[in-house]
Amino acid sequence: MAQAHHTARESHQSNQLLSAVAEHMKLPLLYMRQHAELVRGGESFSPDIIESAADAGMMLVDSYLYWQTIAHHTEGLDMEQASLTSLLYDVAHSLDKIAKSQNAQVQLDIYGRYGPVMTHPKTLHAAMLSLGLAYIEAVQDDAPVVLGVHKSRWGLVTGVYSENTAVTSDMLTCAKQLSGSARQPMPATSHTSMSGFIIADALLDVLPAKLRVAKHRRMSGLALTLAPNPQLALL
Amino acid sequence: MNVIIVEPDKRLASNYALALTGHGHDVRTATSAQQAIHLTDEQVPDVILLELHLKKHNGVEFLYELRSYADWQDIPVIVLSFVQPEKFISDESFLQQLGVKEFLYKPGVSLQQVTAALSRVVRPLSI
Repeated sequence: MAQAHHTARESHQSNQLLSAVAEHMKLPLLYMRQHAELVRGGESFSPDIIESAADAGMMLVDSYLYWQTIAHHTEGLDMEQASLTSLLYDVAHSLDKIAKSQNAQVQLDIYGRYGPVMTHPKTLHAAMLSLGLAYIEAVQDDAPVVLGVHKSRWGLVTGVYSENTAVTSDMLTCAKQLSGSARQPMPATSHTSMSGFIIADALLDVLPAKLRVAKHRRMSGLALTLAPNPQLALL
Repeated sequence: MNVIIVEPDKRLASNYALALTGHGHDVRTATSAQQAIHLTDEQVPDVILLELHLKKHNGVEFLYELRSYADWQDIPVIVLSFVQPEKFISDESFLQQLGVKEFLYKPGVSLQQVTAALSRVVRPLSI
């Protein structure tokens, strides 16, 4: 009975995520079709925008497919040591070109020096990447999208932040309820489907970790807290 | 024709603007409802192309704001959205009352079709 309930919940979540990804994919596909039409009409373009739109779309599809493979790991993921700094650096590098093509910029803000944390690096990487993509689309101007880490009483808080998107806990709860069924689940923050946020939330759920509203310096964003490991801190 | 495109995605706005200027239209773009009101105030357009999904104030709020000014009651609006019309609202007359002349489903129309819709909505004055 419990197993059936779990499967039904998983299937609902999968449909929800698939709807969000499908909704998102309309955008890069529309760019491509429009560019083809404009090129046929004699306009000349740099291929960068199309390339970045395709890259962003593929990253989201990959993150969704990755979630599909780990969602069934009922015994839990194998945790290992990872450096948050290098993980975020890698995510920022992957997002940089996409951000530039949308007149946004990705910045790293790692406040202090931290030892390794116990996590599942691939899942955390996919979640941060998806979240970063959602923020780049939401911001779409010169305001930076910041990947940040800071210490709190409960551990290391790592997330994606921006100056011009103020997310509240109510908005986050509402967005989770609307995800997959509404084109714009976070209207005050973004005109987009924010599918990256929805996928990040699902990935972190498997980790398991919770995506929460957080502040970093003067910016607002979405983050998770990784509990410090006293043994690792000694390394 | 003087056109305002209200489109939050700058890349799409740029594509629509390119297509319309190619047909000799004078195009200005806004990424938010507030910016669109400001542009309308600067110079009243012949037609507005409007995406309903905007950040903060949505397209319907923009339409209410626009129609609250006597001088802007008759500006024709073409909705160009990612939402299929039947999913957005069951009563189409609601949008018609707000001066929406056409409702185009974005992924379903080419740039050429958007340009054609403009010509249908704003016909040249016959003398």
